[in-house]
Amino acid sequence: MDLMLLGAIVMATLTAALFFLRFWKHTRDRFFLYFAMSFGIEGVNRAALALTGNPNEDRPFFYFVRFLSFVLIVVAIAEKNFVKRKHP
Amino acid sequence: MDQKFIPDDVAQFVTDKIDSVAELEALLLLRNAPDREWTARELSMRLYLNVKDAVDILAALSAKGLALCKTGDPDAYKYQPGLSEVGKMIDRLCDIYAKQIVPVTNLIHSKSKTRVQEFADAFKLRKKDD
Amino acid sequence: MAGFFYSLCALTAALCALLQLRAFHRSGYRLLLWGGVCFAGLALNNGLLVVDKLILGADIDLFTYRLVVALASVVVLLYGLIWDAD
Repeated sequence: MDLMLLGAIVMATLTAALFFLRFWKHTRDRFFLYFAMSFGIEGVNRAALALTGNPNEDRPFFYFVRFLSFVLIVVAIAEKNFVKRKHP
Repeated sequence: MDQKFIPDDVAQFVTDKIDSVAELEALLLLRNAPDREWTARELSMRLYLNVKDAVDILAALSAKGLALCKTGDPDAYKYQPGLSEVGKMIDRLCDIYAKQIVPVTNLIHSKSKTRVQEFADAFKLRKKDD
Repeated sequence: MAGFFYSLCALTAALCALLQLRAFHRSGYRLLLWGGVCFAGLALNNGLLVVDKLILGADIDLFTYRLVVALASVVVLLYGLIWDAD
């Protein structure tokens, strides 16, 4: 059951990442690229978790990658708020 | 770069109210003959649209308060901007469109992507846009 | 260590949820609703992780519940991306 849930989470997260990638392509807004990367690495993170025999989120690898995925989101937000955009 | 040719308030009006080039053409067509009423079929023939698109465009213009709909069989639409400021805005837009057709059409086409841009813009902490 | 980082993740997700739902309230763009719900769910997911690891003992394990919350969150976002992204 847990493995199925994890697999579904991986698929859904990576698919969301693909959508963000598409939005980045259409809008040229780097914000979406950050989100695509964030969801992408989190999807891979969950996959890695599923592939360990004994899923344990205490392991530094897993919480570092999850943290990194959220750092990317923070960077996206920061860039949106504190960087002057060149207007097209 | 295009938006340097279009004043900000006109650009804002286009972004808010105009969804397609065909819609803009229809609005300006109605404006050119302000006493005339147009049916969707007449519009479709004049602008080389299919009738369904013409129906949608006229309905949209009416919903946005830019045209008056006279229900009947068929419905007929007349130029009716409502507030005088809106009328003046459309006059300016008409003038700008005549001189800078490419920047205006680019603005309209870029608009079709901006709805998803709202997802990103939600993360702006300050309310005013830059 | 893990608790610290996951707490930060939960806070970040909560902030995202807040910003998205605030924007949804203003503009009515439905993708913002789904995004907000997703991030709220991810905040809950990470929050539950912290609770699970630090507060609850070894006899209670929220792992499956947390997975359900995470899955529901991302599915809601996916639904929004597919149907309401415009």
